[in-house]
Amino acid sequence: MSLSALLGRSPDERKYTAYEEGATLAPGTAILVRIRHSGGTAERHRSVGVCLTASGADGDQSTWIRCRAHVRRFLRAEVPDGPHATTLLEGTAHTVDVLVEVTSGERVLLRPAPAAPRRDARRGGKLSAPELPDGCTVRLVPLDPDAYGRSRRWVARLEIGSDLPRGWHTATVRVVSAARVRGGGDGFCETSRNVRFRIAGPIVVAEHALGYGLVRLDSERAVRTRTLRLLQVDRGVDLARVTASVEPEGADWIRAAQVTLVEAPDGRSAELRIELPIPRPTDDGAFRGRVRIDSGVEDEPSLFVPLSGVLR
Amino acid sequence: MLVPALTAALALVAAGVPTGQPEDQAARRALVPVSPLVHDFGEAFVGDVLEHGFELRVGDRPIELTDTTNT
Repeated sequence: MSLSALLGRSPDERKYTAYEEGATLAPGTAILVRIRHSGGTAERHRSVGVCLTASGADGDQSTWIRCRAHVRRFLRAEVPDGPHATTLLEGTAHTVDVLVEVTSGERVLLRPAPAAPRRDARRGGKLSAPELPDGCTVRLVPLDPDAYGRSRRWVARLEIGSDLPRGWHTATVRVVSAARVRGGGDGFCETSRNVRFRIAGPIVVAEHALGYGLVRLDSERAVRTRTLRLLQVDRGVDLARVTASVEPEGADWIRAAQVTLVEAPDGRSAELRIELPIPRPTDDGAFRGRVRIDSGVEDEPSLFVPLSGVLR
Repeated sequence: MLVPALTAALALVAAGVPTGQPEDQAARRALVPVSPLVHDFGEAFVGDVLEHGFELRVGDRPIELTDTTNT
Protein backbone atom coordinates (compact mmCIF):
# COMPACT_ATOMS: atom_id res chain seq x y z
CA MET A 1 0.00 0.00 0.00
CA SER A 2 1.52 3.32 -0.96
CA LEU A 3 0.28 6.78 -0.22
CA SER A 4 0.01 7.65 -3.87
CA ALA A 5 -2.59 4.90 -4.17
CA LEU A 6 -4.68 6.23 -1.32
CA LEU A 7 -7.55 8.55 -1.87
CA GLY A 8 -8.54 11.10 0.72
CA ARG A 9 -12.13 11.92 1.43
CA SER A 10 -13.24 15.36 2.48
CA PRO A 11 -14.54 15.47 6.00
CA ASP A 12 -17.62 17.51 6.73
CA GLU A 13 -16.06 20.71 7.93
CA ARG A 14 -12.48 21.02 6.86
CA LYS A 15 -11.27 20.82 3.31
CA TYR A 16 -8.78 18.03 3.02
CA THR A 17 -7.18 17.14 -0.25
CA ALA A 18 -5.55 13.92 -1.28
CA TYR A 19 -1.83 13.64 -0.66
CA GLU A 20 0.32 13.00 -3.70
CA GLU A 21 3.37 10.90 -3.05
CA GLY A 22 6.55 12.97 -3.09
CA ALA A 23 4.86 16.28 -2.27
CA THR A 24 6.44 18.34 0.53
CA LEU A 25 4.26 19.26 3.49
CA ALA A 26 4.84 22.62 5.21
CA PRO A 27 5.24 22.81 9.02
CA GLY A 28 1.90 22.92 10.81
CA THR A 29 -0.07 21.31 7.99
CA ALA A 30 -2.97 19.23 9.33
CA ILE A 31 -3.12 15.61 8.26
CA LEU A 32 -6.01 13.22 8.40
CA VAL A 33 -5.36 9.52 8.02
CA ARG A 34 -8.51 7.53 7.65
CA ILE A 35 -8.33 3.80 8.38
CA ARG A 36 -10.99 1.50 7.13
CA HIS A 37 -11.14 -1.66 9.20
CA SER A 38 -12.79 -4.78 7.89
CA GLY A 39 -14.07 -7.19 10.50
CA GLY A 40 -12.73 -10.11 8.48
CA THR A 41 -14.28 -13.54 8.36
CA ALA A 42 -13.34 -15.04 11.70
CA GLU A 43 -13.97 -14.33 15.36
CA ARG A 44 -10.95 -12.88 17.10
CA HIS A 45 -9.30 -9.80 18.52
CA ARG A 46 -7.93 -7.80 15.65
CA SER A 47 -5.27 -5.12 15.70
CA VAL A 48 -4.18 -3.39 12.53
CA GLY A 49 -1.65 -0.63 12.11
CA VAL A 50 -0.24 1.77 9.56
CA CYS A 51 3.33 3.06 9.72
CA LEU A 52 3.84 6.60 8.39
CA THR A 53 7.41 7.66 7.74
CA ALA A 54 8.19 11.37 7.59
CA SER A 55 11.30 12.17 5.58
CA GLY A 56 12.93 15.55 6.01
CA ALA A 57 16.28 17.31 6.31
CA ASP A 58 16.93 15.60 9.68
CA GLY A 59 16.30 12.09 8.37
CA ASP A 60 13.32 9.76 8.75
CA GLN A 61 10.87 9.45 11.64
CA SER A 62 8.24 6.72 11.81
CA THR A 63 4.86 6.98 13.49
CA TRP A 64 2.51 4.05 13.99
CA ILE A 65 -1.24 4.48 14.14
CA ARG A 66 -3.31 1.50 15.17
CA CYS A 67 -6.91 0.27 15.34
CA ARG A 68 -8.26 -2.53 17.48
CA ALA A 69 -11.53 -4.41 17.46
CA HIS A 70 -13.02 -7.49 19.06
CA VAL A 71 -14.75 -9.21 16.18
CA ARG A 72 -17.65 -11.58 16.79
CA ARG A 73 -19.92 -13.50 14.49
CA PHE A 74 -23.34 -11.94 14.13
CA LEU A 75 -24.91 -15.39 13.78
CA ARG A 76 -23.60 -18.40 15.63
CA ALA A 77 -24.70 -21.99 14.95
CA GLU A 78 -24.29 -24.87 17.40
CA VAL A 79 -25.48 -28.43 17.62
CA PRO A 80 -27.02 -28.59 21.13
CA ASP A 81 -26.54 -32.34 21.43
CA GLY A 82 -22.80 -31.88 21.07
CA PRO A 83 -20.29 -32.15 18.30
CA HIS A 84 -20.19 -35.93 18.38
CA ALA A 85 -21.26 -37.75 15.27
CA THR A 86 -24.65 -39.41 15.45
CA THR A 87 -25.43 -42.96 14.37
CA LEU A 88 -28.90 -43.28 12.85
CA LEU A 89 -30.91 -46.36 11.98
CA GLU A 90 -31.17 -47.19 8.32
CA GLY A 91 -34.63 -46.95 6.74
CA THR A 92 -36.10 -44.44 9.17
CA ALA A 93 -36.36 -40.64 9.03
CA HIS A 94 -34.48 -38.51 11.58
CA THR A 95 -34.06 -34.90 12.58
CA VAL A 96 -30.99 -33.14 13.94
CA ASP A 97 -31.43 -29.65 15.40
CA VAL A 98 -28.91 -26.87 14.93
CA LEU A 99 -29.42 -23.86 17.20
CA VAL A 100 -28.74 -20.50 15.53
CA GLU A 101 -28.32 -17.48 17.81
CA VAL A 102 -27.97 -13.77 17.08
CA THR A 103 -25.00 -12.74 19.23
CA SER A 104 -26.07 -9.09 19.43
CA GLY A 105 -29.46 -10.07 20.85
CA GLU A 106 -31.34 -8.49 17.95
CA ARG A 107 -34.38 -10.19 16.46
CA VAL A 108 -33.89 -11.14 12.82
CA LEU A 109 -35.58 -13.11 10.09
CA LEU A 110 -33.64 -16.05 8.72
CA ARG A 111 -34.00 -18.24 5.67
CA PRO A 112 -32.15 -21.34 4.51
CA ALA A 113 -29.24 -20.44 2.23
CA PRO A 114 -29.01 -22.34 -1.04
CA ALA A 115 -26.85 -25.41 -0.65
CA ALA A 116 -23.67 -25.26 -2.70
CA PRO A 117 -21.58 -28.13 -4.09
CA ARG A 118 -18.86 -29.07 -1.65
CA ARG A 119 -15.27 -28.75 -2.78
CA ASP A 120 -12.88 -31.41 -1.65
CA ALA A 121 -9.47 -29.95 -0.73
CA ARG A 122 -7.86 -33.39 -0.95
CA ARG A 123 -8.94 -33.65 -4.57
CA GLY A 124 -7.54 -30.30 -5.60
CA GLY A 125 -10.75 -28.43 -4.93
CA LYS A 126 -12.82 -30.59 -7.24
CA LEU A 127 -16.51 -30.87 -6.64
CA SER A 128 -17.52 -33.75 -4.41
CA ALA A 129 -20.72 -34.50 -2.51
CA PRO A 130 -23.34 -31.73 -2.32
CA GLU A 131 -23.65 -29.80 0.93
CA LEU A 132 -27.02 -31.37 1.55
CA PRO A 133 -27.20 -35.08 0.66
CA ASP A 134 -30.21 -36.16 -1.39
CA GLY A 135 -33.16 -36.68 0.89
CA CYS A 136 -32.07 -34.03 3.41
CA THR A 137 -33.84 -30.71 3.90
CA VAL A 138 -33.49 -27.80 6.33
CA ARG A 139 -36.49 -26.18 8.01
CA LEU A 140 -36.21 -23.06 10.14
CA VAL A 141 -38.24 -22.63 13.31
CA PRO A 142 -38.04 -19.34 15.29
CA LEU A 143 -38.01 -19.62 19.08
CA ASP A 144 -40.19 -17.04 20.84
CA PRO A 145 -40.70 -14.89 17.72
CA ASP A 146 -42.19 -11.40 17.73
CA ALA A 147 -45.29 -10.37 15.77
CA TYR A 148 -43.25 -10.16 12.57
CA GLY A 149 -41.75 -13.62 12.97
CA ARG A 150 -38.33 -12.28 13.95
CA SER A 151 -36.37 -14.01 16.67
CA ARG A 152 -33.05 -13.99 18.51
CA ARG A 153 -32.85 -17.78 18.48
CA TRP A 154 -33.76 -20.17 15.72
CA VAL A 155 -33.73 -23.91 15.28
CA ALA A 156 -32.48 -25.04 11.90
CA ARG A 157 -33.96 -28.52 11.74
CA LEU A 158 -32.09 -30.91 9.49
CA GLU A 159 -34.57 -33.48 8.26
CA ILE A 160 -32.86 -36.66 7.12
CA GLY A 161 -34.88 -38.87 4.80
CA SER A 162 -35.24 -42.61 5.21
CA ASP A 163 -33.64 -43.43 1.85
CA LEU A 164 -30.06 -42.52 2.64
CA PRO A 165 -27.65 -45.41 2.13
CA ARG A 166 -25.49 -46.83 4.89
CA GLY A 167 -22.26 -45.06 5.65
CA TRP A 168 -21.02 -41.67 6.77
CA HIS A 169 -22.70 -38.50 5.51
CA THR A 170 -22.09 -34.80 6.08
CA ALA A 171 -24.85 -32.23 5.73
CA THR A 172 -24.08 -28.52 5.85
CA VAL A 173 -26.87 -26.54 7.47
CA ARG A 174 -26.53 -23.03 6.07
CA VAL A 175 -28.77 -20.09 6.93
CA VAL A 176 -28.73 -16.43 5.98
CA SER A 177 -30.54 -13.36 7.29
CA ALA A 178 -33.62 -12.55 5.25
CA ALA A 179 -32.90 -8.81 5.32
CA ARG A 180 -29.87 -6.59 5.61
CA VAL A 181 -28.85 -6.54 9.24
CA ARG A 182 -25.34 -5.14 9.13
CA GLY A 183 -23.66 -2.34 7.24
CA GLY A 184 -20.61 -4.31 6.23
CA GLY A 185 -20.45 -6.02 2.86
CA ASP A 186 -23.93 -6.61 1.50
CA GLY A 187 -25.36 -6.75 5.02
CA PHE A 188 -26.73 -10.28 4.72
CA CYS A 189 -25.19 -12.38 7.49
CA GLU A 190 -24.71 -16.08 6.93
CA THR A 191 -23.65 -18.96 9.13
CA SER A 192 -23.31 -22.68 8.67
CA ARG A 193 -22.68 -25.83 10.62
CA ASN A 194 -21.68 -29.28 9.45
CA VAL A 195 -23.65 -32.20 10.82
CA ARG A 196 -21.90 -35.51 10.41
CA PHE A 197 -23.87 -38.68 10.85
CA ARG A 198 -23.73 -42.35 10.08
CA ILE A 199 -26.56 -44.44 8.68
CA ALA A 200 -26.25 -47.96 10.04
CA GLY A 201 -28.09 -51.21 10.68
CA PRO A 202 -29.68 -52.27 14.00
CA ILE A 203 -26.29 -53.06 15.58
CA VAL A 204 -22.95 -51.46 14.80
CA VAL A 205 -19.58 -52.97 15.56
CA ALA A 206 -17.14 -50.14 16.27
CA GLU A 207 -14.10 -52.06 15.04
CA HIS A 208 -13.67 -53.03 11.42
CA ALA A 209 -11.19 -55.81 12.18
CA LEU A 210 -9.62 -57.65 15.08
CA GLY A 211 -5.82 -57.77 14.98
CA TYR A 212 -3.75 -59.92 17.36
CA GLY A 213 -0.49 -58.81 15.80
CA LEU A 214 2.63 -60.87 16.46
CA VAL A 215 1.98 -63.55 19.07
CA ARG A 216 5.05 -65.26 20.56
CA LEU A 217 4.74 -68.98 21.13
CA ASP A 218 7.12 -68.81 24.05
CA SER A 219 5.08 -66.14 25.76
CA GLU A 220 4.16 -66.82 29.36
CA ARG A 221 0.66 -65.60 28.70
CA ALA A 222 -1.51 -68.47 27.58
CA VAL A 223 -4.43 -66.31 26.46
CA ARG A 224 -4.60 -63.19 24.35
CA THR A 225 -7.71 -61.03 24.73
CA ARG A 226 -9.16 -58.55 22.29
CA THR A 227 -12.41 -56.62 22.55
CA LEU A 228 -15.11 -55.64 20.07
CA ARG A 229 -17.56 -52.89 20.96
CA LEU A 230 -21.20 -53.27 19.95
CA LEU A 231 -23.51 -50.27 19.70
CA GLN A 232 -27.27 -50.54 19.78
CA VAL A 233 -28.74 -48.40 16.99
CA ASP A 234 -32.23 -49.87 16.94
CA ARG A 235 -33.68 -49.42 20.42
CA GLY A 236 -35.75 -52.54 19.87
CA VAL A 237 -32.68 -54.77 19.79
CA ASP A 238 -31.74 -56.59 22.99
CA LEU A 239 -27.96 -56.77 23.13
CA ALA A 240 -28.14 -59.40 25.85
CA ARG A 241 -29.41 -61.84 23.24
CA VAL A 242 -26.37 -61.41 21.03
CA THR A 243 -24.15 -64.44 20.66
CA ALA A 244 -20.79 -64.73 18.95
CA SER A 245 -18.24 -67.32 17.89
CA VAL A 246 -14.93 -67.47 16.05
CA GLU A 247 -14.80 -69.13 12.64
CA PRO A 248 -11.31 -70.09 11.44
CA GLU A 249 -10.06 -69.79 7.91
CA GLY A 250 -7.33 -72.43 7.84
CA ALA A 251 -5.86 -72.31 11.35
CA ASP A 252 -8.41 -74.52 13.04
CA TRP A 253 -6.98 -74.01 16.54
CA ILE A 254 -8.52 -70.52 16.82
CA ARG A 255 -11.94 -72.18 17.02
CA ALA A 256 -11.15 -72.66 20.71
CA ALA A 257 -11.45 -68.95 21.36
CA GLN A 258 -13.77 -68.02 24.20
CA VAL A 259 -16.25 -65.20 23.55
CA THR A 260 -17.87 -63.34 26.42
CA LEU A 261 -20.53 -60.64 26.13
CA VAL A 262 -20.48 -57.83 28.70
CA GLU A 263 -23.46 -55.52 28.40
CA ALA A 264 -23.27 -51.89 29.54
CA PRO A 265 -25.72 -50.96 32.34
CA ASP A 266 -27.77 -48.73 30.04
CA GLY A 267 -28.21 -51.53 27.51
CA ARG A 268 -27.09 -49.26 24.64
CA SER A 269 -23.70 -50.87 24.14
CA ALA A 270 -21.81 -54.03 24.93
CA GLU A 271 -18.32 -55.47 24.74
CA LEU A 272 -17.43 -58.77 23.16
CA ARG A 273 -14.25 -60.14 24.74
CA ILE A 274 -12.52 -62.70 22.56
CA GLU A 275 -9.92 -64.75 24.44
CA LEU A 276 -7.61 -66.60 22.12
CA PRO A 277 -5.76 -69.52 23.78
CA ILE A 278 -2.22 -69.75 22.43
CA PRO A 279 -1.31 -73.27 21.40
CA ARG A 280 2.21 -74.44 22.10
CA PRO A 281 4.16 -75.36 20.20
CA THR A 282 2.08 -75.88 17.10
CA ASP A 283 0.86 -74.09 14.02
CA ASP A 284 3.25 -71.19 13.80
CA GLY A 285 2.61 -68.75 10.97
CA ALA A 286 -0.21 -66.46 10.03
CA PHE A 287 -3.69 -67.21 11.22
CA ARG A 288 -6.95 -65.66 10.17
CA GLY A 289 -10.64 -66.11 10.59
CA ARG A 290 -13.67 -64.06 11.50
CA VAL A 291 -15.84 -63.30 14.47
CA ARG A 292 -19.43 -64.16 13.72
CA ILE A 293 -21.93 -62.09 15.68
CA ASP A 294 -25.49 -63.38 15.73
CA SER A 295 -27.67 -60.41 16.53
CA GLY A 296 -31.03 -62.11 16.72
CA VAL A 297 -32.40 -59.34 14.50
CA GLU A 298 -34.49 -60.50 11.56
CA ASP A 299 -33.21 -57.84 9.12
CA GLU A 300 -29.56 -58.50 9.76
CA PRO A 301 -29.09 -61.78 11.65
CA SER A 302 -25.29 -61.99 11.39
CA LEU A 303 -22.37 -59.58 11.37
CA PHE A 304 -18.79 -60.58 10.60
CA VAL A 305 -15.53 -59.03 11.73
CA PRO A 306 -12.25 -60.36 10.27
CA LEU A 307 -9.62 -61.60 12.69
CA SER A 308 -5.92 -62.11 12.01
CA GLY A 309 -2.49 -62.43 13.57
CA VAL A 310 0.89 -64.11 13.28
CA LEU A 311 2.14 -66.88 15.56
CA ARG A 312 5.90 -67.25 16.01
CA MET B 1 -1.57 -11.07 8.00
CA LEU B 2 -3.69 -8.24 9.26
CA VAL B 3 -2.80 -5.54 6.80
CA PRO B 4 -5.11 -6.65 3.98
CA ALA B 5 -8.00 -6.00 6.30
CA LEU B 6 -7.49 -2.27 6.23
CA THR B 7 -7.11 0.56 3.89
CA ALA B 8 -5.86 3.96 4.90
CA ALA B 9 -6.59 7.28 3.34
CA LEU B 10 -4.37 10.27 3.85
CA ALA B 11 -5.88 13.67 3.30
CA LEU B 12 -4.44 17.07 3.99
CA VAL B 13 -5.78 20.48 4.76
CA ALA B 14 -5.62 22.64 1.67
CA ALA B 15 -2.01 22.95 0.65
CA GLY B 16 -0.01 25.70 2.30
CA VAL B 17 -2.48 26.44 5.09
CA PRO B 18 -0.70 25.89 8.40
CA THR B 19 -3.06 25.15 11.28
CA GLY B 20 -0.79 25.72 14.24
CA GLN B 21 2.43 27.26 15.46
CA PRO B 22 5.24 24.78 16.19
CA GLU B 23 6.07 26.25 19.54
CA ASP B 24 5.95 23.30 21.89
CA GLN B 25 8.49 20.60 22.30
CA ALA B 26 6.29 18.07 20.57
CA ALA B 27 6.53 20.13 17.45
CA ARG B 28 10.15 19.05 17.16
CA ARG B 29 8.79 15.76 16.03
CA ALA B 30 8.26 15.42 12.32
CA LEU B 31 4.64 14.36 12.90
CA VAL B 32 2.70 15.58 15.93
CA PRO B 33 -0.38 13.57 16.93
CA VAL B 34 -3.50 15.67 17.43
CA SER B 35 -5.75 12.71 18.22
CA PRO B 36 -4.69 9.48 20.01
CA LEU B 37 -2.60 7.17 17.83
CA VAL B 38 -4.53 4.09 18.94
CA HIS B 39 -8.26 3.69 18.44
CA ASP B 40 -10.37 0.90 19.90
CA PHE B 41 -13.55 0.15 17.97
CA GLY B 42 -14.70 -2.18 20.75
CA GLU B 43 -17.05 -4.93 19.64
CA ALA B 44 -17.61 -5.48 15.94
CA PHE B 45 -19.17 -8.20 13.85
CA VAL B 46 -17.77 -10.32 11.07
CA GLY B 47 -18.39 -8.43 7.84
CA ASP B 48 -18.58 -5.00 9.49
CA VAL B 49 -16.54 -2.25 7.93
CA LEU B 50 -15.40 0.38 10.45
CA GLU B 51 -13.72 3.69 9.78
CA HIS B 52 -11.70 6.02 11.93
CA GLY B 53 -9.78 9.18 11.13
CA PHE B 54 -6.49 9.96 12.88
CA GLU B 55 -5.44 13.60 13.04
CA LEU B 56 -1.80 14.70 13.02
CA ARG B 57 0.09 17.76 11.98
CA VAL B 58 3.50 18.39 10.53
CA GLY B 59 6.15 19.50 13.05
CA ASP B 60 8.67 22.30 12.65
CA ARG B 61 10.22 21.26 9.37
CA PRO B 62 8.97 20.31 5.91
CA ILE B 63 8.55 16.60 5.28
CA GLU B 64 7.49 14.05 2.75
CA LEU B 65 5.23 11.21 3.87
CA THR B 66 5.44 7.57 2.96
CA ASP B 67 3.44 4.57 4.07
CA THR B 68 6.08 2.05 5.19
CA THR B 69 3.74 -0.44 6.84
CA ASN B 70 4.86 -3.32 4.67
CA THR B 71 8.46 -2.37 4.06
